[in-house]
Amino acid sequence: MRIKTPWLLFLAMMVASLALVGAGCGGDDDGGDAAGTESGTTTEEGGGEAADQTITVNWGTEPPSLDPGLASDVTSANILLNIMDPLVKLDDDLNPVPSAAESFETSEDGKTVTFTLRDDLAWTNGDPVTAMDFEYSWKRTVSPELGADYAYQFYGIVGAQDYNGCDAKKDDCAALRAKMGVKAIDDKTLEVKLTSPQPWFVQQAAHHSFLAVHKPTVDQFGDRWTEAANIVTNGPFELTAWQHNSRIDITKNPDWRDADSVNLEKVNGRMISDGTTAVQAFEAGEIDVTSGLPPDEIPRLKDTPEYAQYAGLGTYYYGVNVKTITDVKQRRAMALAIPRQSIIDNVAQADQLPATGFTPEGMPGYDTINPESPFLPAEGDMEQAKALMDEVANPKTDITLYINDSPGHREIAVAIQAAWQELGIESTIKQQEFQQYLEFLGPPPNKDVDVYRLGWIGDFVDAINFLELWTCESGNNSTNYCNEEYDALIEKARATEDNDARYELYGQAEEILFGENGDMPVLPIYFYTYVQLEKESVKDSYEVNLLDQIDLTQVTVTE
Amino acid sequence: MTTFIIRRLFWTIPVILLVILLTFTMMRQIQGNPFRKSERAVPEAVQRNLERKFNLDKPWYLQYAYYVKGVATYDLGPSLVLRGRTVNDIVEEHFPVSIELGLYAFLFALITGVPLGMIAALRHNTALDYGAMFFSNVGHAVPSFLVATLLIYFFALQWGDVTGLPTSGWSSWEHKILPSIALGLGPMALFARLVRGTMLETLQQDYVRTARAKGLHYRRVVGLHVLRNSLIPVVTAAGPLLGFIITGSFIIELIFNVPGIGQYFVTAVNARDYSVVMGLTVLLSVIVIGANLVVDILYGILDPRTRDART
Amino acid sequence: MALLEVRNLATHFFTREGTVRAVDGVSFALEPGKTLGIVGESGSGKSVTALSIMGLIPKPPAEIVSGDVLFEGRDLTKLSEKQLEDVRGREIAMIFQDPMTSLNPTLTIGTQITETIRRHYDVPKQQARKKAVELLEEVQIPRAADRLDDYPHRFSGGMRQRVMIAIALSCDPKLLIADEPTTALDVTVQAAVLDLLDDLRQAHEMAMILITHDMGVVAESADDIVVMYGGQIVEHASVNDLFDRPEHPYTEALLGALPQIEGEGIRTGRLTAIPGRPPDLKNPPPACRFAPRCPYANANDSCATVIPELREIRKDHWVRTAHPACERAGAREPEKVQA
Repeated sequence: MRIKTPWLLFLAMMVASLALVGAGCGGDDDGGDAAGTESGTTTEEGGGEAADQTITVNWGTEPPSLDPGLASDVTSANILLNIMDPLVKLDDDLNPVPSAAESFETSEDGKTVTFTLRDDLAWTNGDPVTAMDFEYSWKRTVSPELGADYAYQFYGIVGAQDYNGCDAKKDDCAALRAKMGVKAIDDKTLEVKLTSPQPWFVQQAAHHSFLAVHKPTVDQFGDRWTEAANIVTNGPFELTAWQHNSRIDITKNPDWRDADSVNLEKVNGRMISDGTTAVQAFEAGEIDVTSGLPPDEIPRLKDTPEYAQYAGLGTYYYGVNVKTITDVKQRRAMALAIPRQSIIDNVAQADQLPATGFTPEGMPGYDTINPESPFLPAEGDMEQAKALMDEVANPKTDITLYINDSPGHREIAVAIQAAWQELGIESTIKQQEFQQYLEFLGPPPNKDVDVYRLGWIGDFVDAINFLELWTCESGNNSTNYCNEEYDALIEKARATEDNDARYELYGQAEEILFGENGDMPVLPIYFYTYVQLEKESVKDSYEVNLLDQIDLTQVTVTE
Repeated sequence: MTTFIIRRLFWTIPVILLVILLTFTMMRQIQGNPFRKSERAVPEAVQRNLERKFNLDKPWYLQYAYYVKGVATYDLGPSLVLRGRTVNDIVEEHFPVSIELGLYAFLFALITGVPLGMIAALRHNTALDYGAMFFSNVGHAVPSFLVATLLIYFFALQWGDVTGLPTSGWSSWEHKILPSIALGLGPMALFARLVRGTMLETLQQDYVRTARAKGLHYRRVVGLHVLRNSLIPVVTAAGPLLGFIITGSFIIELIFNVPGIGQYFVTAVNARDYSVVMGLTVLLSVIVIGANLVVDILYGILDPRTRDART
Repeated sequence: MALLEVRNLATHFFTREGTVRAVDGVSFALEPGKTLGIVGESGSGKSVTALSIMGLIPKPPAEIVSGDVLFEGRDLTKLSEKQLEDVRGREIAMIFQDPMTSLNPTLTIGTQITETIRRHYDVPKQQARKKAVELLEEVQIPRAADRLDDYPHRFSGGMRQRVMIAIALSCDPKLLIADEPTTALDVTVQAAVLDLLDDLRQAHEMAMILITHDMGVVAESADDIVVMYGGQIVEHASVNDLFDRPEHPYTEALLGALPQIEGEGIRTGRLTAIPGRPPDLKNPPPACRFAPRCPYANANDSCATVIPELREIRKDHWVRTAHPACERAGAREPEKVQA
């Protein structure tokens, strides 16, 4: 039987032509991606500004929404904070500094905050930005129809919680809206009335949910006002292109009030969610910045000059059900046994910081707040743990350890399981899918759970954010821990304006939890870090803050 | 034939209704809160607002009824998680991408798999046969994500200067090469083995001997007599396969960062985005049903014996 | 010159279990316009001989290990595949046993006829179709023009065989090989097809090789008969001579197994079945292949040790046996009819 010459020939031709075409059309792309870096690095003397100030950033995911009222994730926040102008921004020490507001004032009793806007604020369509815009936007975010996640951030404002919980069938929502304590006194003055003194309120106003939106645009386009063709913004950059799940590009807004200080011309955004692919794209020169590095690649990437690491405002912890593991000595022993540093070095591998309290490092007032718990030594202290365990009258030796199914948690659980075994505790690890897990944990806390894993990331930069978790009524407390003394301290702190005084109170709260007589309802493991790869041409100026936010106005492409 | 098609199309309706009901029930069973995005619990008032907004506070049969009405009027509802986008938007923007990827993968599989199988059959039990089958078995056994990553690593990264292929994305035609190959390797293996099997069988048939006895060029014997009959089982397999390639390409889409429907499908289930899950499931069912119908019609065209059997 | 001359043809199948010596030294000649009948049991090598002539044996396991096939002086075994393709269908045509499976179910019979014509002659499609209709009429398919675009499954078995014949005749071959053409057909249809074959053969002046296991079939049509057993020719004679005076014990047995209904000199009494089974051609009997089943072989003769040669026992009558009828003690007379 003869060879099917025609077919083979055809096949060979196909392969050959594919190869030829692929080889011939190398390099350039048609406004696809990666255009930036190739042409971005014109060689000048080291350190000088590059001619082409374009970078490509991998945001990792598609921003679910660019509506400040609806956005609740880091990617959306990052983009929003760069295309919009918040009232205030946070400086390197995370203190609020004027941005769209040229000044802000808190009243004597601490319950009224007044923001005075600058004169030169403008929307991209030419309309001036006024205080009315902010009043409208905040009320919109709190409105029940919008169903905003972050409505709760506004609960400190008079009438906000009522308005948010308004049922159109029973209440007069319009009246409640009018009663909400935010008002534009005039074009430039925004007056906010708080339910109680909240010293961190101005800091909170740096959060993206406090941004203003352009009412006419929202009215005209409804749900679609955030599409690139429709959106109207007021910040240093504008949204020029958004292909869902593919790319999102922002360009410098030449009309912005401080445009001269902005060096970057264009930021192309990719949305590569797979860590390995992101690293490959980075190494191929297609992107300049990426996060989401796969844990097993971190050891290799650490040695590269492009590796960058930042402290994060988050804590990885194990919650303990104090109704099943009732003896505080056992809980302390369990805390002592955990080899935090070893876990960081061998499992998590991103140079996280071993936790010595619940509020993470970098939080203002950390030095005062952190209790340096004797039960949370970095290396773990197995001897002391065993000694303490022996003193426990009726130890619970058979416990369930719940984790969710994202990568990494299981390895950490196994390490801790081994540590606790030396104390004579048998832990059964149970893994669940994330959403189910969250429902499962409650509250009300599930009886089956003895120990559970969670993380907590700060919304804004005050320790109250973290410490209020462990109050009796907290919706995020699945430990059954309820201590009136602790609750009282937190309440008092809420009312304390003076930062230092407040940090003192926070410190005391942490003592109650983790001090020598600490109740240990929670076993903190480590404080988060953010790791990224950054091309050397932007590495110096591309800095991410504790909240994983990047201020693109501060970035310059060098070389 | 027309009555046949109409009857089949008619039966699609109860099937789709059943699919909706099953998906609906299953999604509700697995619990989880579509509005909870992180460890942070959703405040009560917000939860209530959202449930009201998306009709989740209504009894299940009402929700089901609303949804069916929506499907009938091609209004698949808003996404619960991606606020500001509707399922219609998502389908219209991303489904064509998946179709494109699926089609390229399918074509690749067809163009490489069928000749591979033919060569293997015509050079039965020689090194070429074993080689072709080994290659196709590897293509079948190696998981697609591994293939994908390897392809990126070698062709886009290591030899990127030569090939000029990008590592990920879907913007230009260069982007489309590697993902199509990665997705098409499994089906290629399937086609190769199928074609080889049916050809080997067909080559034994008496009518092939007759064709040769007539002195027909071997090209024609294989190209017409053998292939016609060998391809019938391949067509039967190809239909549902195309359906699944289009909808099951999530891993490839994820790794190559292709903005198709697959990513949405999986992330929607994890996030409990009910409307997106339902919408995409209905879409998938329609595709599979459609593909099967096309196959049945094709079968009737290719094999005249069944044509008469089916008045 | 003989139209076809097969000289010492040997075709073996090389399989994993061993080498099957399907055709092991076969020779015969055929004059133009004559009919040769090849008879034998299943497995005797008749079909393989025919396929070997056409070069259609499956080339991986099978191979023509020795011998020539001279067609009009050309040795077909030395031709390339391409050259053979030119011969097949045009010079030598073949029809097969099972008309149900021998036609491609997915092509119309019109296509299957015209493709043959257009393969060998450069004629436009219309003309080929016209010829196809003529051929179908010739093989007595009613309403030929209408049925040209029908598929094979629309035809009965007998009609399909006629179509096969039409295809075979389409290019006016000099030789037609018919491998068991009527075996799969009803008895009533058989006769019609055989008659048709004979008429056509005469009309087209073709030579024919008629392969069958049924002696009755060749009695009517053949001029000469070759009896094959175990891959070898065991008897070769003209039809009358073979039927009147068979020499090989096997031939006798075959004839004895044949029911005779009418005619001169018919045998009566029980039909004889031949005991035993055909030889395993991987390990054929060392000498005479029929010996294990032969009623005349015994322990003292050469049957098990010496391979009997094919010898001309009379004029134009060859036999390969140590015990030809005419040499046996008490030579038999043809049995007479009981009056």
